[in-house]
Amino acid sequence: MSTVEFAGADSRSTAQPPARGRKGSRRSATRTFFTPGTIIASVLLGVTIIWALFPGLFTGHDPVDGGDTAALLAPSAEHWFGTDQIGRDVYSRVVHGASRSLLAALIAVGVGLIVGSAIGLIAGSRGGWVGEVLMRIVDVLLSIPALLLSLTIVIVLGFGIVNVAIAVGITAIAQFARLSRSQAVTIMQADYVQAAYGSGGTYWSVLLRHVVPNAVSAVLALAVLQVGSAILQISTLGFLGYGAPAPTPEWGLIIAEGRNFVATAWWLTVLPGLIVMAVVVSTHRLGTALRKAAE
Amino acid sequence: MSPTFRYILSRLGQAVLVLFLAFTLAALLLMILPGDGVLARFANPALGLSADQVADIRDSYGADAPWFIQYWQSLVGFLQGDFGYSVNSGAAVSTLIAAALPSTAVLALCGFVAAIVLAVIVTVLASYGKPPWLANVIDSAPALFVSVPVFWLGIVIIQVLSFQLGWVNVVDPGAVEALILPTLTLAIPLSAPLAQVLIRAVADVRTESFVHVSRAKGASEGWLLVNAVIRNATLPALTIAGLLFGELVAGAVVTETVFGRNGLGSLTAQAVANRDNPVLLAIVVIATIGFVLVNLIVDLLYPLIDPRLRHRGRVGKSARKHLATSTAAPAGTSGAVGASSSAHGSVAPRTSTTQGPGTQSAEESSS
Repeated sequence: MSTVEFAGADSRSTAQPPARGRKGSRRSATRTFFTPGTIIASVLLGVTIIWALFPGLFTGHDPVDGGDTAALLAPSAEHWFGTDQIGRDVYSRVVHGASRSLLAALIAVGVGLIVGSAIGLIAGSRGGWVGEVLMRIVDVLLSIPALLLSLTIVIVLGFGIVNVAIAVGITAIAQFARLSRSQAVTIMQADYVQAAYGSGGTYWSVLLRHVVPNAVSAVLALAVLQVGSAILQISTLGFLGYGAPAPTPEWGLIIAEGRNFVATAWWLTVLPGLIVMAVVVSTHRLGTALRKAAE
Repeated sequence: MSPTFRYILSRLGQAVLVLFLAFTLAALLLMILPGDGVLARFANPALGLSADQVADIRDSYGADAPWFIQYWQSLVGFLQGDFGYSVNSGAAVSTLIAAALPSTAVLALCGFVAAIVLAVIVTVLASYGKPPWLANVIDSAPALFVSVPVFWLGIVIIQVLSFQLGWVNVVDPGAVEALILPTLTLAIPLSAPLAQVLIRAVADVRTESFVHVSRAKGASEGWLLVNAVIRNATLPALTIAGLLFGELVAGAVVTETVFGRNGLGSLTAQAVANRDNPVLLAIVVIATIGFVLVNLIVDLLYPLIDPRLRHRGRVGKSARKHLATSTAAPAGTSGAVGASSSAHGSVAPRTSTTQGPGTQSAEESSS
């Protein structure tokens, strides 16, 4: 879904720092980075990552088998998010779902980052017809609305969470390509690049020793922004039923399964949705702060 | 040939090229890569078709032809408005789409209008709201809106407005009543990028010296809002038109699924669930045409709206450069913008950034 593109940046928005950011640049970078907002966001994300790594620390309930627990219990001290239609603990499902959703988001961002940056760096540093052809490919990727592009890829690759992640990653390629291209173009004009060439550097040595290290901070900031968007897109595809199969705890699927009970058991959808939202807002917040710091 | 005419022609050419390449990509993925989708579907023993019948069906879908013939035939077919036949139901894809289009068009239009209204309300409250803490809270609303999973939003809206408050009937609603909740679901995420751009534009313009002068001369806040802000916010708002279109497409798929409405969105979701590649191909191509058209229109509108862009040599490039500065701030909203024309203009030199666009346009409109 293209909510996501919202989080992204392209060359136009990153080639120049926003006028406002300039004023604050006298304060040290760390002080501007650690605002209450980013601290809360970091804590939230940190908790989610620990959920994903060690779900057993946070919940003793089984996410897939409810046992003989009563169905549709309202939230309580025993079951924080209540139980679903077959007695599974919803909080436990969300905690266990974190690993799948975060891993999928990382795969998606990884695909976009690696393929996109490779395209962008080569296009930006080589120019000429190579750059022209590469950026045309990016244009074509951008011209298909993101959700439809990912659906097209899902239909080709088949359903499943990894395929969904790859599909979402392919929709992110264009943004990484544009950003890294603009970075590469700027860097290639710098004096030290001329100096490197002058002292006998080859194209590849300049690319690896100067262009990549200098472009990396901006690209990584975009990657953090993209994690939130990827989580949103992946959960959307999971909700539509193209991701993980049924008993798997995956955030989109958990919400999809709860929707038949909106009238009687609000906690099945509302609480998992709030968690997804909190995680997405946090990555957004951190990504934006990182991008300002990178500039 | 006048420069304007040449600009229009070159933009048209780029749009057609991108459309053609996008069609090729989608056709490659959906028609040619899957190999023999027809065989996979109809050779299923449960259907009880004889080998001859399967051969007939294959023949009717043209599945025996080599891939470049299939590609060529579908390209010609698409140009003539013939999108082939659904693998799932056997109906002509064009019929399916014609049946689904009106409902989605109405929903999209309502959602779009509601999003604009919502964005303007949020902007006014965030910029002029009292007390200030309330304005601050509303100021952060757009960032929240973009982070909401749309499918979840739809469910929560049904839950609150329909089941808790009983305002809208979702079980057996009338035609208009059935539109209210989907419109709201579609409008909320759609309004977010728009509100962000508008809030930013208002903030930019209000700090300009010509606004202080106008205010000192006795202009009311309302007059300033209409005359300065709207004029200066139009261009940045236009740049996210492509982004909004993408949101609208994605929103329609999710909203129609959540609310069980028939339309292009639910047709898309069904096509993917049933692996109905011809239907998905047609939808992808139609949506891409819409997307490219929106971006083309926006690109052609820039010089009309901003006179400065008319007098420069390369209109497209200066438009891009201008936008590069103007969209720098609102959290990188320009992701999908200008999809079809980026190759040339997307990199603005760093040196051009010392002056924000707000300042530029403000100075010019005041002079």
